[in-house]
Amino acid sequence: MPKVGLVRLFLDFFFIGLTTLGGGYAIVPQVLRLVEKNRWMTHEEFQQLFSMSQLAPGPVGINLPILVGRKLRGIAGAIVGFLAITFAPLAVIFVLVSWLDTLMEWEVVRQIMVAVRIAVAGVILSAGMEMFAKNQVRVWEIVVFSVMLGLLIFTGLNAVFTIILGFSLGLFFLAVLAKRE
Amino acid sequence: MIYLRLFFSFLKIGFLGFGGGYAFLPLIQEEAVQQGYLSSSEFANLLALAEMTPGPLALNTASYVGMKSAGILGGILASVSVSLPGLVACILMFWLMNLPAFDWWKKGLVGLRPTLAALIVTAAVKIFLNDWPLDDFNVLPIALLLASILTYHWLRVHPALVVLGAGFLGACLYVIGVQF
Repeated sequence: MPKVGLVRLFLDFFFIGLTTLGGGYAIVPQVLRLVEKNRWMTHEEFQQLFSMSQLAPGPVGINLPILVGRKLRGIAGAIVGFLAITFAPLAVIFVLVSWLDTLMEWEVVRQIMVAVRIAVAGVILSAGMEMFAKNQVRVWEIVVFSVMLGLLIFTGLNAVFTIILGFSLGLFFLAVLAKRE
Repeated sequence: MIYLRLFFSFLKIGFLGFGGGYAFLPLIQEEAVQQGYLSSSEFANLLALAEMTPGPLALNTASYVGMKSAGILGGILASVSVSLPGLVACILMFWLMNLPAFDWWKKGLVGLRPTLAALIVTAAVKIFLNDWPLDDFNVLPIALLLASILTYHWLRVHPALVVLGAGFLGACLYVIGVQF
């Protein structure tokens, strides 16, 4: 694992905070590309951090940068990740706070936001599938994926229960598979 | 004291909320209206507001509520306190899960892959369906969705650029009179 400077870490996450429209999940594709580009960790390690970001209380969009910082540079990295991801959004709201209500009434802004949301959906979808299909996908994985997707969309299952249930299902199928071989 | 109240309000929200930003909105709404930080008509616009500015939704709503009720210091306080439980929990969890006793967790993570993918896809589906024109079929959202997948995945364009490009396209479409 390469040694990453704290300033560099701050700048990378500051940029992500500044350019991520569409909520915290939109951070996932950005962090995925950042980690891939710099070869900071393997896909497995990234998935480990992503699942932790869901298990911990607080927004995923803040927890993920904290965890990446923690992995790369310890507790100082975690704090830098937190400060960097919150800085730009806070500054933008501070500057715009008195104009936001007016801006929102403009029809063009509404149209821009619709387009932005659709693109965010596309990018998040691709990042999810990239993480999923990085290695060979087995049949049981497609089954678990479909079941979890159905549960999440139709029952609004909470993120923590989702992880616990998915983890148990995964352990079960891995054990069955190991026995058969 | 307003600062102390804000701090504990958002600390509570940071403790109780898990997952993506949309999970936090009902919590923030309840607290903000109950404590009188915002009127319910002010809150109606809060989601749209939080989406318009960059960053995680939970953070944006927190800093907006904080700033509206106690200025810049209130905004900083609210955003720090909403993230504080996560910061502490992430550091503790990272330490805990790298202990030898948690090796089973690392091994089992391979099996978690489809679940993580389902979580991400659900977020995408929810965001997309938010704008689905249910009354009449419109090909434009689907075309834009496919275009963004294509540019991100196959052309490897930076995700921020894909999203900002789509926003620019939305503005252009508005100018020439095309509605989504």
